Amino acid sequence: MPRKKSPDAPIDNETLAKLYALVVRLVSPLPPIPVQGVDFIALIRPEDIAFITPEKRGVKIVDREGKSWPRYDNITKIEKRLSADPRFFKAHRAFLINVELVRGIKVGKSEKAPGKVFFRGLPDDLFAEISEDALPELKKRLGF
Amino acid sequence: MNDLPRLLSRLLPGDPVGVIFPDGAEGAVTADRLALIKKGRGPGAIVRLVDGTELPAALDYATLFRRLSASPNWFKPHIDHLVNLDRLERIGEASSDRYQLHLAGGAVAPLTNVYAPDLKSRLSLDSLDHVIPFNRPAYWMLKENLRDIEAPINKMEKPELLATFGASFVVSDIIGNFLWQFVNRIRKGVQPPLTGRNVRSLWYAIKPALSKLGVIHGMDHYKTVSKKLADYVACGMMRYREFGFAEEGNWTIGTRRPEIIIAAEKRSDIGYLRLLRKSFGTSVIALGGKPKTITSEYFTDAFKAKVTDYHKPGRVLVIGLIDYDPSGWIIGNTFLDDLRVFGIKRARLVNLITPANYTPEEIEINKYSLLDPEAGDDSEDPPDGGYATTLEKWMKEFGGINGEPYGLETDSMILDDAKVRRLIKKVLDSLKSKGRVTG
Repeated sequence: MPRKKSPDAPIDNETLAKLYALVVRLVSPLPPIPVQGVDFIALIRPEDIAFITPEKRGVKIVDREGKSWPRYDNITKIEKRLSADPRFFKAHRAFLINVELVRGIKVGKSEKAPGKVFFRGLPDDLFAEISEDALPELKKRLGF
Repeated sequence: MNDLPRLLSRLLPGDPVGVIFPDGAEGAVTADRLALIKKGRGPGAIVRLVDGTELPAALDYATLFRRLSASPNWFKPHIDHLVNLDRLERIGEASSDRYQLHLAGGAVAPLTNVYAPDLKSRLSLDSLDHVIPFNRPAYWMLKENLRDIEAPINKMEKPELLATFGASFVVSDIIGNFLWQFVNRIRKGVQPPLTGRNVRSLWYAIKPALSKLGVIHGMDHYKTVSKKLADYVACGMMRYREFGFAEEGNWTIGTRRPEIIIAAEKRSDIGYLRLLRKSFGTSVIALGGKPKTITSEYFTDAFKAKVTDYHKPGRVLVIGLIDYDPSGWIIGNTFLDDLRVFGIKRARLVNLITPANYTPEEIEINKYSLLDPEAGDDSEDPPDGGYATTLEKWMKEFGGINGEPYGLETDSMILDDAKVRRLIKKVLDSLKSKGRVTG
């Protein structure tokens, strides 16, 4: 019968890694993303981002409350900036999504009608798209 | 995994904090519910919660500060404030060189300049002024609420106008969007420019649409068109030239010394300026009071084409024939500002109309009072509250004449042509000796 560990015993690396992964699911290891407002800079914490998609003059960051923020950047650069945060997933060439906020997906029927990703707290008409190629990986991450 | 303590601190940034509720009961709040703490009266502290509640703390500020600042999530933006960085929502400008931190629940903390570099570093920000990368047109679109509207606004009927701008529309919003749409249609080639015409033509183009909304009476919306256009040009969103407007042309670029600009305040002096240009080969411009942005744009376009090294330090000099008084001071500065807006950032101004260029006798003959007897300014002594603001500032900067509020008109100098030429030559010779003037 294995001996019960003392509460004061040092935490082994495996437990620490699990703890770290758990904490990262709650709070991002990255600093907030600054976005431009009128006469102010707003700071969006990565864990509050639902998805990011390109728009005419940069990208649009949609937060967990459905608010939309402009950033004069391209999606590739943003993807790179957020690459150290495992919650972000490139669901489509035009959508970077926060997997931790996903509440459901709807599989598309063809390349022209890609699948949709829905987010906790956001209405159904505020969704991201998912490509056929990215679908298996997203399903895996969501525990399908 | 090295940043685990920092991440845990984001979840729980410190021990609970004792507070006193409005009914006098003592309690505690967990640190994640705190937006900021600040010094209260005396040694006490006030805590501000993320829901906007403000409560006195049970501990004094110094003790609370010491306890909380041990956690990496807290930041001191000011001697009397400590903020929870995880609850920081916005950084805004309080004035031209000061910032404010806006936290969850509406709390606001000042940011002292000395702490700004640390904040930038903690949040990995390149600037506190704006987000980098910055897109000027996109920023101004956001600021001015400009949209990419497809259908020509000036041809819309009332229902379409209301559907686009809302039932509680703002006229300046319609005008701003009309200007933005109009210049973009010119850029795309679907709208011919208004070649040879002026800003009024833009007003006549939008007037029928505004008429359909019943808003053309009561206010002079031509002024809004003119002002909005000048603002958009000044911020680099568009150029007058793109519209093809005619400009009065009270200026000429020089031949031998184009980098020297002789600028006169009065439009009527353009003929005299052209004589000076013939003699000295300099550029000349009659500002006509506060210079119009369109004039500055057209002038600087031609100037930069001729003086290609205009960006070099000391290269561009403005010799002013501008009244020695507060208005002249504003006119000169506005011209320098306009030059900067259009890319000539290092120009200097030497105004010839200054007491140093007059004999005491000439000053006595030509000086005039800057006080307005109609406004009750009949004494030469400063009133209790000082002079009117602009005069006060001007007096501080230039000292009037022997410390008294007197000015000198440009005409007192221009009437003496030989003197004007002698003074210009003196300035040019001094530059020549420094190797800054060609020709």
